[in-house]
Amino acid sequence: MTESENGTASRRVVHLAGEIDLEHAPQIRKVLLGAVDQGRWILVDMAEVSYIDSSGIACLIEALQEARKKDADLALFAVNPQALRVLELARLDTVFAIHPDLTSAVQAKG
Amino acid sequence: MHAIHPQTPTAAPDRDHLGDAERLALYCQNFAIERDLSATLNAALEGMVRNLHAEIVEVFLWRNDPEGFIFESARGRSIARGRQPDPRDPYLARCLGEKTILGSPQTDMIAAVAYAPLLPLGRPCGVVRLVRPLGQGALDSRESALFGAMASAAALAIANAQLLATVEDQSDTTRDLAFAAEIQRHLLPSAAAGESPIFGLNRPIRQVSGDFFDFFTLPNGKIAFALGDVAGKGMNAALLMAKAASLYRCLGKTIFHPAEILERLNREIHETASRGMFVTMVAGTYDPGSGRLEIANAGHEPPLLRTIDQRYESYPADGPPLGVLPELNLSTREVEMSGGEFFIFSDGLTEFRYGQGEQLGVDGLIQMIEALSPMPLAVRMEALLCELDKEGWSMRDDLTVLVIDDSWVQNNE
Repeated sequence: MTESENGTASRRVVHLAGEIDLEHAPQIRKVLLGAVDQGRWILVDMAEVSYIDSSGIACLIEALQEARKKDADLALFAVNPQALRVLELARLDTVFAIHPDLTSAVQAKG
Repeated sequence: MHAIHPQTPTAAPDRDHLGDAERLALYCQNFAIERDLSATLNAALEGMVRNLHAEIVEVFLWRNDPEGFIFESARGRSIARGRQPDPRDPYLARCLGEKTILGSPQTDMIAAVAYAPLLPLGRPCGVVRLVRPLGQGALDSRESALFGAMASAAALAIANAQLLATVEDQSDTTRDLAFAAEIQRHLLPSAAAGESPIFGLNRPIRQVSGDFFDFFTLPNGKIAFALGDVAGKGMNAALLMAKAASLYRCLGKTIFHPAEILERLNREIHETASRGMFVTMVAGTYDPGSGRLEIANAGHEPPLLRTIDQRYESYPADGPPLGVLPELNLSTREVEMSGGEFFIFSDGLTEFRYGQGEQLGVDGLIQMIEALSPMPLAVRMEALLCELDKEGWSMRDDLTVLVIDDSWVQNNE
């Protein structure tokens, strides 16, 4: 699991990679909540996430719920087919805004 | 300030040395039966005051952080005189750093002081500071040797008491976990497989489970059933599991519409769940008379219907899991079982992996069910779990299966 972050003060892009499971969830949670705390618009790059379990999904949901509390936006982009299938099976595709890539995510915001 | 080099004991110890040995033996005996850290320390200090003619003996424990030494305990006559311990005394650090006994002679105005390091198993733990009364003079070599020996024994006793406290904490946690696991087992229905058209299996990956299932007969003769899977593993998942299972058992006896039960559960869970925790859940009713099911699915792995002619149909979720959104709008679907079998399972089943390879998946599960198909359903499920217990398979999550066998009614009439 690796994560990194970049972006402007209001837009934060968080790059997640590897297996997002129970073991790595505390670190992922810290990064995501840190981004929500500092930004108004959080874009999570999921391109290199090879596996995500329910602990990892809980981190994404908590970040989304925190973002909504402060009227900020959080969206996912470049979700690979396996992780997308997990999100779709749980109908979390109706909860998260999911975009094919960063450009689409930025365009969707207008 | 100078280091004191204790004398090497002579081969034939004189009476003084024998006296010291006896004193040391008594001193150590008390430590052997004392379990409490502060009682151990106080006993150690009182022994030093008595045997080394000290005005006061103080213990400073070392913390490897900016605070450094912290005053822990003191014994001696000077306590009554309001003497304030000084954890900033630079000789404390020097004594611990040099791992040796330090001493200073008395002057006209200043009493003699000696320092002994506490180094259980070589690990820096603290320093004992001993102050003699004015006029008593500094420790001689024999007393210094006794001081060192007493400090070493005290250090070991402190280490033992700390270790014992840790072990007791761990055994408390183990006992609490065993109680929690037992309470959880009682939350699940106890009907054995094969005794009714519906039965369930639950196998936690840790001691406690984040999964649950339940079923009970309603006044109209239908059987209400549910299976839930809380995100995560361990105690936080188990606590939310207990809440969701209890809420279901309560609501399920007054609300007979599966989608409505899940929507109510969602509101309750969303109000109080923290850290993004959520519950995927299937709830439904089964009418043994007509073979008709009604089900609703909130974010859960699609249940499977195995028809009487061995076709499989899946029933995907039509809304996200419980606890994610403040309101859910789910639908209830009807399933005609017509003598078929209905499998609801947590992803702990489909996420079984063989070696480093692929997960079992839904296709793998179906293949296993078919391979075991000549057996009665209850036996088949046990056999399936036995198969997954074999070497090579690894479990990654709590595993729960709830099975409804519509042929059971016909076969048991």
